[in-house]
Amino acid sequence: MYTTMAVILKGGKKVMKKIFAVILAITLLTGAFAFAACQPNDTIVVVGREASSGTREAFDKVVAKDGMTLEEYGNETNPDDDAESGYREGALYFTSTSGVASKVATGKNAIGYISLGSVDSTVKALKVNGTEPSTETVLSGEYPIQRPFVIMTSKTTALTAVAADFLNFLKSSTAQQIVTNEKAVSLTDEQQRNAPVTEYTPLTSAPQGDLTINVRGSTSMADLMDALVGKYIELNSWMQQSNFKIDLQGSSTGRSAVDADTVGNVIGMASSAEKADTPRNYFNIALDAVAVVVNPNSSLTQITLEQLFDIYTGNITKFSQLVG
Amino acid sequence: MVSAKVKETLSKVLFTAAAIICIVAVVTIFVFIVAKSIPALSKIGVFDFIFGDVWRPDKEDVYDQAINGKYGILPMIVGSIFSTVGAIIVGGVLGFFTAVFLARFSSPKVKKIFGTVINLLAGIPSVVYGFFGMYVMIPLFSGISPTADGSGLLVTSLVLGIMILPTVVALSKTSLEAVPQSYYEGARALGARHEQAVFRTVVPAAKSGITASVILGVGRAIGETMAVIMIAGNSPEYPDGLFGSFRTLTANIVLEMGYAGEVQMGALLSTGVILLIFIAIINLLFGLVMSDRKQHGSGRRHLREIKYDFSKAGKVLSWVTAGIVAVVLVLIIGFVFIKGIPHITPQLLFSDYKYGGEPSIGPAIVATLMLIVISILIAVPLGIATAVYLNEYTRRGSRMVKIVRSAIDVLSGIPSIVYGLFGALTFVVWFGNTTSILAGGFTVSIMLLPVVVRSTEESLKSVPDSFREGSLALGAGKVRTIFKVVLPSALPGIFSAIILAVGRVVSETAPLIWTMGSVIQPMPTGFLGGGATLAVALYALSNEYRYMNEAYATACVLMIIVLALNTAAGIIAYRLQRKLQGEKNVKRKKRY
Repeated sequence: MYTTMAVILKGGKKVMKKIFAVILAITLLTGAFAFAACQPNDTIVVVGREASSGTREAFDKVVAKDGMTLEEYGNETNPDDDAESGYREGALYFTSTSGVASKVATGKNAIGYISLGSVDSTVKALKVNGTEPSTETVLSGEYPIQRPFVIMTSKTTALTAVAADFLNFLKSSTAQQIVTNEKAVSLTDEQQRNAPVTEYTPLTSAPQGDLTINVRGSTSMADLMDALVGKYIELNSWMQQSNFKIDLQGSSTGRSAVDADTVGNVIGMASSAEKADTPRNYFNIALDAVAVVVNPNSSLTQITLEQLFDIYTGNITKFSQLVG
Repeated sequence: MVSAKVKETLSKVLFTAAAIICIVAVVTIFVFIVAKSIPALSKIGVFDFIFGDVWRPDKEDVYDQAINGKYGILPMIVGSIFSTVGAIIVGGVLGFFTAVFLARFSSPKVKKIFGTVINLLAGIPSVVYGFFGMYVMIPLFSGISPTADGSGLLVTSLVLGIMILPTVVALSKTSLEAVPQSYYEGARALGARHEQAVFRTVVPAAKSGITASVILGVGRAIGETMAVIMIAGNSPEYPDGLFGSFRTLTANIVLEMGYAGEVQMGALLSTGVILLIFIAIINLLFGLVMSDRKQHGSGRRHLREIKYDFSKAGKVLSWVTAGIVAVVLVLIIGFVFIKGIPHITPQLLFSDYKYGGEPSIGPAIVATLMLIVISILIAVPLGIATAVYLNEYTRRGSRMVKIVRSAIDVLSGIPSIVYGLFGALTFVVWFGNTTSILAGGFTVSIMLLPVVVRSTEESLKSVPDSFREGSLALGAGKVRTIFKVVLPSALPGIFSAIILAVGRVVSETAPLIWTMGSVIQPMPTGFLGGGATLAVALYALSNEYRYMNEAYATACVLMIIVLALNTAAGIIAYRLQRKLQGEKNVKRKKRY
């Protein structure tokens, strides 16, 4: 500190001049920033997920205009088109719910989509076609953008005793309670679930055989599965935490891990619906809404599926086009 | 006598073996990745792959079917080149002048503090830089961006530039300090001012070290993954001006690896090959530049009349850049600490993790320590032995040295995500077909080799030849000279190499997700079990939005660990140096 002062005093005018020049430059730069920042810019910043995301699949399947969904648009448009799978040029892509949410929370012009369970005060969920996303509107089917959380097991390999017991637990009403706690939408309708809700009685002692259970798949279901595993261990004191091997790399890896299961201890998770001709045993443990989110300071409160289609394909690029 | 001879031969063999292992590692990685990418490349076509500008992979692809999608990566190649050039402009210039400032213009006190903080910067995981870019830089630039969002080339270049700073500064500083004081004194004696002596004598003498630091910087910038995917936008397009979504080669791999079908996976491995080719080209170019300089000897240039003397401007620039870097350092570190400190709780730090319970990073701390132990045990002996081989056992400029050195340059350039890929398909398979700390340790060890070798080599070079000659003249053998004279004199440098290595282990994310596991887990049960390191835990915590506060707290813990490591190493290095100098003084007294 004193040395700096001494230098300034010793150098006299010359150093003062330099310091003045630096200060001037910084002021000018800040001024330029401030000036530019004052210019109103209502360009929409489009935020999406990577192509494999279950959230994106659910979104692209529902968002449609004139009978064509975003997914179909992506598959059918001119393959020489620059943008990825039908999204407009210059769209931003993130590999996680967190990435999208952070972008929307910090960018005042951003629009994106995330799991309803992850919506908090840093982002604002829009009404879609006039409907607020909530447990009730998802269950009644009113809220259009939704998807199931799927639990899958191998069809060809018989499950080990402990994996079968864990699956029983996942199908139970106890598991449904955890689903509600974790802000997903509890699903009890046998038809929709592809399995009935059962009662689970914990085992008093460890079943025969190896106790390892491999859990693989969707990142969207991470919190839910974490809580489910915790509850299972709590109920069955013979089960060790280290018996669970959890690996989250996306819905498609969950499916391929189940397909490659030769031991019978893989529980797969996917956050988009299984096809009717699936080669796996599955049931839907919960429903989840995909919420369309904007910055909390945005004046926007609702949006239609047609508008979303236009925004994501690039027909609408400014917020002013939405209001009008 | 015989046993001494055996000892000599044995150690020579060992040192050579270490160097050969480095070469084998490079060749294996290359062959492995190239071989795996050939089927996809033959299907797509090499020309269409490199020069195609549309990237739209098929949703479900297998090798037996015709491909409908487009697999052109030219936009990503351009994106990687542009962002790396931007990073070098920012980080290279800032780093060079900061290093000059620290080495020749600052007071010892400033130098010590500044140096510690810059080393701290090296230990910050890239995810944190990503946060910083996303929460501080992008909102700052969003106002002036025509796209209404700050993501794009400018912010990516700035963040990458900051990220390569520690690499550039640390190595440039070491090589500037290694220039014999007599050079400087000679210049001063001839009437040069302080800044003239520094910029016209010391800096040119340290050129090779500075260039090496820039090579490492280029490697880090082109290979950075986790921070880039948070700030670049990731759309597979050409970078459109300073703002606008674009994608780099590494981002392409990490974005799509998780779900790629057969052809797409091959295309991503081919993306890795392109990255490797880039690294090879960069190394080749630098090699050419360096040999060119040597040929047109510097003697003639010094005789030429100096028309423009930029050394004064250089001095001003050194002060200004050091100031800028200091501000940026304070900003980043302040950002993390202000967001994280309030959330560091004993529960977060020390409790075991329970599934479904509150997040805890106790297991991550243990896993990190285990990973450090393994990787240091493998990489440090191997790296030091290779450096000793290069510096003590070979003539300068021999073919073997060239091969080993380029192998190490290539290793240092391979992006961490490619190591992760390699580790996932080899070590993971060998060690029980599941992610484990051992597999992570082996993967990271290869990454550490170049760091250890390069820094050790620099400090070995700085040991004056008179030490070696003196020891040999007194009848000590080569091995004895190396272990009793050369290595002890180079110890401070070697310690800084180990610190750099530990910092790297602590802050890496991309290669570990695939090899050690990416889920917050209970206490690791052994080296064959999986685990998440602190950096990976940080990634996992922030990936699921709910635990953002805990993520910042984890980042704080990481930085405190790195700071503690640096301080400890600093103290050890200082003690060693004093002990060494003390002994020397005693010797001198005896002599006179």
